[in-house]
Amino acid sequence: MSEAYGSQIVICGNTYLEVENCKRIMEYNDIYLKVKTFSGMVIEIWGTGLMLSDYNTEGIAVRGHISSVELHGSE
Amino acid sequence: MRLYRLRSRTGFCIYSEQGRDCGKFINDLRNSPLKFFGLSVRGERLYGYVGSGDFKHLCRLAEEHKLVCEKIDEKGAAKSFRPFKRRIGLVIGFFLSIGIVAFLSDRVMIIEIGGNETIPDERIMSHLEDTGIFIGSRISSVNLRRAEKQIAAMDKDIDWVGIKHIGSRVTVEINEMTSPPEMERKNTPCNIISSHDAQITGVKVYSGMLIPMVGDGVKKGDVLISGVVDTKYGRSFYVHSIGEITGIYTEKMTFSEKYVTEEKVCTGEVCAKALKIFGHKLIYSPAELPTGDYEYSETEERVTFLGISLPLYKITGHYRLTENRSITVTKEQAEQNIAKRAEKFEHNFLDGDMTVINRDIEKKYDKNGATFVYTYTIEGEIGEEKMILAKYEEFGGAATEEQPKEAN
Repeated sequence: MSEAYGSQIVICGNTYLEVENCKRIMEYNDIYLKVKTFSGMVIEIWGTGLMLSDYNTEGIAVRGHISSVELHGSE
Repeated sequence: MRLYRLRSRTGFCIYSEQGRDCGKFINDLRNSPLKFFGLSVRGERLYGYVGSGDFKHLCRLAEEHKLVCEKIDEKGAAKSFRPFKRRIGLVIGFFLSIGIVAFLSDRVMIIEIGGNETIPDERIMSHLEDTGIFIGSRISSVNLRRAEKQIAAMDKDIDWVGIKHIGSRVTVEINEMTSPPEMERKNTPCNIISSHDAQITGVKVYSGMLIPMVGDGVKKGDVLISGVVDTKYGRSFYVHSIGEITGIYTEKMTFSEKYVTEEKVCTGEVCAKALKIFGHKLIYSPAELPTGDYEYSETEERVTFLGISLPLYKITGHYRLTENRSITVTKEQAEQNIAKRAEKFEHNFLDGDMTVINRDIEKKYDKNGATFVYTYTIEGEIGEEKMILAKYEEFGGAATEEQPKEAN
């Protein structure tokens, strides 16, 4: 998806999350993930055993037990 | 199944000896063409998987960030198959199975015949064999279109043949020849004549002229219903005589039985088993086939494996050994045998429309055997059709040839 459409976030249950148009990972450990999208929005993901996979160069997939997703800033 | 599980991948552990943060490394890793899976942070260390071919690039990237990269695990299909790479048997088996599949895919395994109603499957199978199509024959070596024409030409009862193959299954579609119906010559002029010397007991005339009356005696060949009918104006014309004439007549039948007869007696049975594969029969038991007189029958059973029919047949040949032996019967037994045969004769030939009124038995005995002469008094149909052969006359009245004339 291009930048013009912003980021698409897909959440499957509480074990899988996909973020498109992810610009950079600001902070990452097994309980917390903070990423910034190309549009400037910051996504904070809290959980346990978070694992990161790269399915393309502009997106990430997060697996693990996700407890909360916080969105900051605006597109 | 997730495809990345099949992909050959190497597990890595990245850490900094100086206690550096891995955040920048992760972002550079994302921006690089390397693909990673299952990235996780445990303590100060970063764990994950990259493609096995990408591990060197990963190490180089880690060195650029002054991080230490270690290989910790290896997963994927290549890793799973690596222990078997020296198993020659598996490799040979793999290629052998490919060879067998390639070999069998060009062979006829199943022949299905359809569309035949009167022609037996065995006859069609025989024609197919003549054209080179049998279980085990090479499909690519047979010209199916040519075989179709050959079979249609071979058998006059076959109108059209269609042969096609799907894989190793050959399907034969038969269209049988439709023969023209038999013509009933109802217009042919004929008389009804007597088939026996008899006394007439009943008459039913539907067409033609009745000659004798009920109670009259007739001899064999006498005209009962005439197909030549005269009009009151003196003109004659021919008709197809139809009627039922019943009469009482006698019929003689002789049955004889010898006291000493030679009969074939079964002395034992030998079973020979064989395997038939691709049309070739391999006999594996017994070592020696019987010689002398025997009656032979064969049963064929297709071998199946896990419910799948294989092109392999188990054949059991039954040799029923026989020997000619003299059998002596007593006078009473001979009489019983004759009585049985007479009963069968009456059941087969004197049953139905006719009625046996009386049965006289004349018994004769000599040193060789017994002879019984059965004289049956029967009441039944005695008329039979006989075509009228009339002289065909031209206008001038000259007779030209003898031929049946069509009735008016």
